[in-house]
Amino acid sequence: MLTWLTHTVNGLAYGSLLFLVASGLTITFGLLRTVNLAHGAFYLLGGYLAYDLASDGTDYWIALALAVLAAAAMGTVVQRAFLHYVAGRELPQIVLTLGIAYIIGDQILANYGGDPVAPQTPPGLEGPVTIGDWTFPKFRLVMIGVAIAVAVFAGALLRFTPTGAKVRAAVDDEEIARAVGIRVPLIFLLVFGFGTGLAAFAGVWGGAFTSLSPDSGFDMLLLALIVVVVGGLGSIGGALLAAFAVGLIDQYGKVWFPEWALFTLYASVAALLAVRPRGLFGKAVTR
Amino acid sequence: MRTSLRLAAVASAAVLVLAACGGKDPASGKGGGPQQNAAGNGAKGTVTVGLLNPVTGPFAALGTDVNAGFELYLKSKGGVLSGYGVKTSKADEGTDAAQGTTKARQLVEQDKAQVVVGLVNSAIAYAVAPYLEQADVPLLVTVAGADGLTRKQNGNTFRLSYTSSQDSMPLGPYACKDLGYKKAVILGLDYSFGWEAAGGFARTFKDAGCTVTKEIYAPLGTQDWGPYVNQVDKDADVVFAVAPGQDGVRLLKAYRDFGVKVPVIAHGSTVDETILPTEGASAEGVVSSLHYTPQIDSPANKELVKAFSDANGGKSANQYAEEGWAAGMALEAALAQIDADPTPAKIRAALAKVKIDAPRGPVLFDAYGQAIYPVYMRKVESKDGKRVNSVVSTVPNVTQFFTYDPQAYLAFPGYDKLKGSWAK
Repeated sequence: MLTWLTHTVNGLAYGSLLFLVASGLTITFGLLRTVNLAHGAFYLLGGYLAYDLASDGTDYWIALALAVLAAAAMGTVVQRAFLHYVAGRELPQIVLTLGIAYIIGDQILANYGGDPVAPQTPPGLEGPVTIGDWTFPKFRLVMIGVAIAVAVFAGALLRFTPTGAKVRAAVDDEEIARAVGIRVPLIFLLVFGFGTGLAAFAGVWGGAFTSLSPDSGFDMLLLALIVVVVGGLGSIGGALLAAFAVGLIDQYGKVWFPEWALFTLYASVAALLAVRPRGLFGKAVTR
Repeated sequence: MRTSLRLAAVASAAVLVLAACGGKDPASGKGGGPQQNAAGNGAKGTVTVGLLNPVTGPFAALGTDVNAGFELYLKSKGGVLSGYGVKTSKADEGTDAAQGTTKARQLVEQDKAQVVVGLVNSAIAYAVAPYLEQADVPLLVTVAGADGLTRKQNGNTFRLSYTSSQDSMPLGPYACKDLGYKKAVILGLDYSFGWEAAGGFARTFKDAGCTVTKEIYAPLGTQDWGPYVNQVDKDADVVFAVAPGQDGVRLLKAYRDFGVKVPVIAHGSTVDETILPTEGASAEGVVSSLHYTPQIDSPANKELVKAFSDANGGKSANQYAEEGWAAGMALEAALAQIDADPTPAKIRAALAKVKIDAPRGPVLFDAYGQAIYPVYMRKVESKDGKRVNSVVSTVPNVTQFFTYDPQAYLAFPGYDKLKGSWAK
């Protein structure tokens, strides 16, 4: 009985990690419609920067903040210097962001080597908690709370604030938005930076959850793409639900049919997309 | 036009900035064709060695260490082995069999290598070994572990490293009899190395009179080991883990995060020196079996440990560096038997008779070309603020068949077929 509770909560915790990775992607890819294959690279960048700073003696939370800000700044540079020029053209975006992903990945390989690193668990969240007979890692429990908090915060920002309204306007109809005086390129720049900052945050905590190596970037990107597509492009709530669903399917797949661990996940995603191509909460595509 | 020019300018500027941030590049000469190093002056002539190890892809770190071990040994001998100046020609094994074979061909046909040393990926080794046999150039394998590579008597392939099951077989009786664990759960990676290493342990553990109660396998590159470690029965006496590289790091992390109390024993690659610093406290107390640990107390090993650490900024030597180093020694011992003109055929005949005192201990080849060597039972302990694999017990002269009769052993079904049957 308690074993099943552990499996379920762990599925949710893993889903929360996936949501943290996917939340940034659902903004840059889902909302801004920029095919951003460099998302995994920003995940790595954040994770490695924070790891580097923290192992040099910087306070954990300052290291976390610096890594997120640095990745966000780098994201805005990438948006302004490169992606800005290929807005709305998917193929150049794919090649461009893939190139950026490779450059960042190789720099990480050159600086930190190919051996995996295990960033520390945030201070205060180490070890298991025990409730009655039930034991569960504290960090993983907190992760679920953080994922829900990020979802509520980002969702509210987009839905209820004037900035959010401008973002939605800029995405829905760029020309009209420009006509009424919204500075669309600036909005895109800031939103992209926000998305890469989220990726970096996910990298810091994801690194502590599993571990980091130069190839974890693409592993995470693949899972994040699944979550974003299943959740529906641009829907934060959809991404959260999808991430929980993917986490649980993955978890129970591994428990019930370990032989088919990868198949259970991808097969259920394929089945869902076959009956509902726009994902759980996606808007119908109007192009 | 102007936009694209500006874009190009920005792009090249950014690339330059990033490249400048790069600093040290461990894989200089990545990709490209083989790199050659001039030979030292040998009294008896020169010999060309093809080094075929991965310097790109997931196994790059291992290949780099093997190359470093071989080159360090060569350097310690001034580039001359048994009177022959050694010219090395390095090529990248890469990530697929086609590339590996192309590079092997290049080493043999272009660079005229008289012996090829290397190979990490077993899938590539299975393709390269027959090519080299047909080209009549001996192969000295330094990492690739597939059991099947050394199953033919008087063949062209020699292997200094383990067969996947060789190092885990001595752990079975040790865990059952010496450590007194009666019921084991197997927790491993779901691919041929995992099945063979787990199978070797399971066979000898059961034959020693103990039982395997469950087998759990996770795919390569599993991000979260939580679902797997939670399936470990709480009443098992011990968990046998086999997961090299990053999977090993994640396995032990999840294992400790979930506070699983069952003790862990492992195939040595799960806690080897390449990942032990990363695993840190999560590896504390793990008992594992392997043919090498930098803690071996012998002059031959101390020389390697010092040379490797000096050349790599204090990094600990590991099994891969030792395998490269031992390959240098084996070649030296082979060349010592050859008076002049070291043809591939002479080198092959000489390799079969090689006996060396490697850093790991005495090594010789069996009739199938597989190394016979001591296997160490090691325990992860803290020493001078670092975690190390201390030797707790030594099993001498372990062959790929362990204590089984070779003919009987070769008649067993393959470990890939036996996977899943150990707990029944």
